[in-house]
Amino acid sequence: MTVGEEATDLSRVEIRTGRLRRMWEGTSIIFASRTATIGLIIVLFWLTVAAFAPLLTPYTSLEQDWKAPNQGPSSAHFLGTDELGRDLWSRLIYGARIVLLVLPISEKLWIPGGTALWGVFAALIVGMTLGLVSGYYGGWIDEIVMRLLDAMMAVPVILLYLIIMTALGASALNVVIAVTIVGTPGIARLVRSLTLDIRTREYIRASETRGESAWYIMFVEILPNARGPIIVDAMLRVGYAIFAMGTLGFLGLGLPPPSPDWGSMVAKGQEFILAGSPWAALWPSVAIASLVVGLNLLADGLREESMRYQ
Amino acid sequence: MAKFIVRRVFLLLLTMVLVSMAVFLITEASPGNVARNVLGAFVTPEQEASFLAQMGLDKPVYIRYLYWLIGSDWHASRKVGLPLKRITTEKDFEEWWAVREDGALIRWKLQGEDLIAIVRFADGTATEYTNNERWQKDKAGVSSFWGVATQNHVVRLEKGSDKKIWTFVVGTGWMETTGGPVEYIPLKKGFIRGDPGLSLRTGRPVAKSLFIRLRNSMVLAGIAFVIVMPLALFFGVIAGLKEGGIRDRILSIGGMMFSVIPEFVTGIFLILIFGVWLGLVPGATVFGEKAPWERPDMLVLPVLTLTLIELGYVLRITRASMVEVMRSPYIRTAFLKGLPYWRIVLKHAVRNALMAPITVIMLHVNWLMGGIVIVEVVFGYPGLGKYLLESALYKDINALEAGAMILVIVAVGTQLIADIIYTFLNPRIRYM
Amino acid sequence: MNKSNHTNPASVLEVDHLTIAYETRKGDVEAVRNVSFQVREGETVGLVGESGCGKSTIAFGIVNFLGPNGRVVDGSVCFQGKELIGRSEAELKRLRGDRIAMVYQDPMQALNPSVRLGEQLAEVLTCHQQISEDEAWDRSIQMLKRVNMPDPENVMIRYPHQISGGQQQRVVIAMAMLNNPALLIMDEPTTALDVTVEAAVLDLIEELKKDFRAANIFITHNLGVVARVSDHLCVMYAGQMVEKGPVEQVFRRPCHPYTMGLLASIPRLGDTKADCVLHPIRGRVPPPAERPRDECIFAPRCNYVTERCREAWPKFEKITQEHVARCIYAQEIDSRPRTVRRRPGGAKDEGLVQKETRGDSLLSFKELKIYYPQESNSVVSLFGLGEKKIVKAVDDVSVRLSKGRTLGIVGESGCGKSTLAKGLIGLEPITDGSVEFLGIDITQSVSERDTALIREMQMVFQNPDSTLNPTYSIGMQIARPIRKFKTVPKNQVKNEVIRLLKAVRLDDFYYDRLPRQLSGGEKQRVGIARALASRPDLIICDEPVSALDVSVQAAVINLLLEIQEIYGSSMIFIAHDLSVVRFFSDDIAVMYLGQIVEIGPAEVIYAPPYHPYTEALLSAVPIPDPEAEQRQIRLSGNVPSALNPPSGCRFHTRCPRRNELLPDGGKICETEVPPWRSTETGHRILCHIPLEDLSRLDSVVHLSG
Repeated sequence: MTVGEEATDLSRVEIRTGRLRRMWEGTSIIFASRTATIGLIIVLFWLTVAAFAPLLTPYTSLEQDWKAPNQGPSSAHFLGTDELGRDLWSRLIYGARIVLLVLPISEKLWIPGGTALWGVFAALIVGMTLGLVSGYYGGWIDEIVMRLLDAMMAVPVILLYLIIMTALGASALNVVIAVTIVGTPGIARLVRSLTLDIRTREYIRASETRGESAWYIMFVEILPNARGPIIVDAMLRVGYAIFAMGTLGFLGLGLPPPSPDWGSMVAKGQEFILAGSPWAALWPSVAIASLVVGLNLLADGLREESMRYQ
Repeated sequence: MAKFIVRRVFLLLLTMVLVSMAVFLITEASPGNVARNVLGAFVTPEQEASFLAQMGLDKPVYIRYLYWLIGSDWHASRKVGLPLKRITTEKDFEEWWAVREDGALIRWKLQGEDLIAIVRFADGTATEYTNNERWQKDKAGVSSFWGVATQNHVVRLEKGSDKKIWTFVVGTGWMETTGGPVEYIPLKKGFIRGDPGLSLRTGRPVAKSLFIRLRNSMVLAGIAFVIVMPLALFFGVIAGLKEGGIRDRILSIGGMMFSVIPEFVTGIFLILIFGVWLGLVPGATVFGEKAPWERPDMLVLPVLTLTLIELGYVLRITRASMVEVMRSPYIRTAFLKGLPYWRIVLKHAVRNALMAPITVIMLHVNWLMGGIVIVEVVFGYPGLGKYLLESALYKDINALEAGAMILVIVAVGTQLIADIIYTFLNPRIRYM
Repeated sequence: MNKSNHTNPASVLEVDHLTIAYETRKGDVEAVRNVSFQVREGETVGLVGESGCGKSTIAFGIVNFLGPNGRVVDGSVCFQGKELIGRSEAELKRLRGDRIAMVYQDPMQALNPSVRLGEQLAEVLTCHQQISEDEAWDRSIQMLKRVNMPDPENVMIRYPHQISGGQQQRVVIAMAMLNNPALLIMDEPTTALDVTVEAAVLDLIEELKKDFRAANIFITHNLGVVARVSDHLCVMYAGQMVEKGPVEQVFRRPCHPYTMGLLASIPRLGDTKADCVLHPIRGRVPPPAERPRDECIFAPRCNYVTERCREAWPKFEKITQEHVARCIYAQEIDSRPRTVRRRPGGAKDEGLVQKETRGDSLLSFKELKIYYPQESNSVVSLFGLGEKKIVKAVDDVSVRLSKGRTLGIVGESGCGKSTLAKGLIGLEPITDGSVEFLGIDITQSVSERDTALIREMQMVFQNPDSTLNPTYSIGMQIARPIRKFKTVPKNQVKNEVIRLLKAVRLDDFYYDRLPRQLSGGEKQRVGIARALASRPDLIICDEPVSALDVSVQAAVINLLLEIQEIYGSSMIFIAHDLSVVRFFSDDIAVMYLGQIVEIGPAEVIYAPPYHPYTEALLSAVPIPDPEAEQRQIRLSGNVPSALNPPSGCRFHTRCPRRNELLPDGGKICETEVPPWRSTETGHRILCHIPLEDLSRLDSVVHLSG
């Protein structure tokens, strides 16, 4: 019943056309929603501290101070120290790097793009392809792909993680693989349902009557129009991936020690809670919680706002 | 409808087969093995090989999978040439015996060069006699014999092979003996016949410990479920009534926070708040075997953690569904019919709004199980999840498989139930 | 329909200077401005206008149900002498559903899917009256009987999805009438229905008006429907009422340029491209936020506009006692040059029509069958066992299309006309039969066809909102087929695109625009340009104008005609609107349940002899002329399922003629497939009734003037 949302800005169209305008629209949509703005601020905070970690702390994540284990916040150690006297703030922000900025493949080789991001990215690639193929072709291809994915989805996630991580061993790359395997079915399902919807549109029929190849129709005609929900979903999934990383770390299946992995920091710190030093468990918990909540606020706000645009 | 259920059951079977195969293959492919995990890093290669052989782990993976799935007794029985039978003794041990041609139960052991048969009577007593006539000579002139040994194995004994074996006895350590069997087939009935085998880690039957652990987990999940469902559905409906209202904002942001923060983080927060700073309840749980009833106060935090997570999730789903229903034209119709507000909500909105969440919530059981594992680890609660984690870490294949199967059954089973409930709630499917 | 019989019946509703605004992010936007009208007992006021003109907003404004962001800014709504604006929600609730009832556009959406129909009906009674559940139930059954619902007791315990669309609308109407309301508001009540069902529902509405004497407000965009049901007519444009008056007067002598434009832009049943020109209204409806306040709202699109029109907001000019128009020239507009519909000198000399059927066959298909399997619900089907259910979407259809001619295909939804088009273009596998296009067999799917062949057959689609890919600019989308088929050298693609844009009357700055910046009509033009890009011999138009507003329809139809004239393309024109098809086509095929039941040159299809189904269709078409006479032939029952079509003649279950014109009450129709009966004019009818008998039937429609 709302009138006039769709055609109000014709006059401005001439001024700003094309890519720039669309990019502006994309970002302005975030600030239109208070929820999304708060989420963005939290996420940006973590991105910033991760990017400038060496400038923000005098310690490295591994430096041990034997004289001061399990300390509370002090002037020397902003957030306190863990059981080996390592600075918690340093471990926290270097941990954020692993989550958001770099993927440590081996001790020497670090590639850009955080562990969580790589996991989601890989799951997106695999899931999108499966979903597009399955949704566009339909028939027995769809049947087979979907039954397999159903079977995968029927397996409790924790079991998948357990099996994958015990098989592959604890490492950042294996965390990526685990997140990919667990995330793929969900993305495939989403993309499939979007594809099923979009392929009934007449522009798809138009390209079919032109005799376009299935590849062209799937990736050029369908995929760009499914991007909105996929982007929102991907953001939520980065949240899940951080969730999963934390959980795996907590179970001792994540990054091997002494990496500043948030989950394993919590697991180690928990042992000392009852001994009277809660800090080592508290701070990484706060970090995980805030980052995950931030991402979800951002995604929720975006989704709400883009719904209102339609 | 019937088609639907049949489909689901197919899916369940397919999933179970795939998962069980995957578990076997992955455990096989991964480095390390149960011998190292159980025996420690200082085991000699001979000891390790002997241990693996006794466990039947030296066989190719497909044989082990088949044994695990449909049992090994039928195969072993063909080797022995006599039917095999599993009995439960007066002391509640399970023992395998061969059934002699005359119906008596019989087992064998090797004493020097002699094959000794043990015959068991109905009252539990047994006699022994030399039974060398069962030796069989093969072409190379080696005498060998397949029979049931005393430790629930079917074994191949070889005359004069003098094979050294090491047996690991908990408490005493390694015992080295000679004249042992050259080949083992551990006897079991197989998973589909209700026997998941022995735990490689503890040597006890998986089924028994699993049952206790499953019960413990069910108690935890059950209490949480009973608390969560009414609360979450109620608050979800309330939040969805007026989209964007103040109640909606608070409930949905709160729900979101609870549902996206990992369980262990919530658990830590709760321990810090209620266990450490307020000191209301114990911050850790130390349960004995009589868990969970011996210390109900220790249950509070685990249940609370689980409750918060699930509450947030279900609330969010219900709210989204309710919002959609309240926007629909038939609710507008109801308003324009002049019906009282609460009649519209209760009769026209809630029913439609609760239909969608039921399937989604049941799908969520998958995640719930993950939550239970974490909560059990955080609070040291002796449930299925912890059992599973330990089995996975030890590569205790029998326990891992059995636990995995139970999880899959629960997961797919709840989905099946959800589908059935959904069909009953939704007339569009019911009256096709 | 003549209301002067009753001496001034009591006024039920008076709407006075009503202004309604919606709150948006950019401030308040007026959706309805200063609207006044009144409705009397036993009288129907039709609110007519194109989409976005605010007619539904008025309906919801009357009951003050405008949603969270809408509100009445000014004016009054007086119901039975009492002011409704500013009343409390509780008081309004007492009126809604009791004294004021509503009927909505999409009955499936309006009914709660998970509550039995009986409960939904009875609760209207129990919540407004002191009445027991049982009595409410009984009275609901009686009301269902009153709205001619077959088997009402059974319907009461059913769910909405178990009955057909027409029956659902009857339930909604029954629900509205239960409390014998003083005012009944109907918002596009028949728009979602097929023509024959629509006609029956309109009959019912007419009957109920006579019996219950409620005051009716009938909202629609369809001039034909409004001409048929209303006594009074209010024409809405861009949130304002531009003309109102008794329906005959408004249709006979429209005095606002917009009303005149609307009437000039739709073909009336029987008009053809040979003897008539449609006059579209130029430009587009201004969006609510950009409507000028102090000048005539229609000025930018008006053919008679002068400087005076922009000086002030025009007042209502009186033409007769009851007939007013918001145009300063309303009095004299009649004497100004009027839009002439008739082409001078009739048709014969026009190049548009080739009377002689040219021998060159472009496309011909014989005994074409398109079946597809239906997913079954039984357990055995999982194992590939059991009986496979087959939907016979197109069954045994043969047509031949000559070069340069237009074949119109009409039929109600589900008759297989779209499937037929998909089959021809190669998107739906053809089960059996032969199809020849340019002398080449094209029974294979589009992916197996030769590129040279593909480019000769292109399609124009129905829905302007989905015909273009929202991601890419207009230029890219038109350029794609040019590149693919290499119609021009690579460096000239952009020029070619601009040439095509010009050909569909769009400026070259559309090149960089995105589809969402275009109006429906513009999108449809781009769709046509895209189809033209490969320079095809045959264009299949699948309902190209049915989703467009009336004033835009004419422009698109004219464009298609023009293109045909310039490029000489042949066309297949699929539509459900008989007037449009008649206007556009040289030959027409009428489809029912996957079969063609009648085919021939356009002019003979619309005159006796008719196939009984065509006859019923023609009798159901709403004609935008209150003085036109139509014989009333209504079809009984629902369209049978294509899964299990009736034996013999597929139409026998609903045929109104076989009883009277065939011996034995037409037993033969139930068992034997009817023969084709043809005349020498190339007119063929699939019917058991002999042509002579069919020819004796009276013409269905008699137009005035």
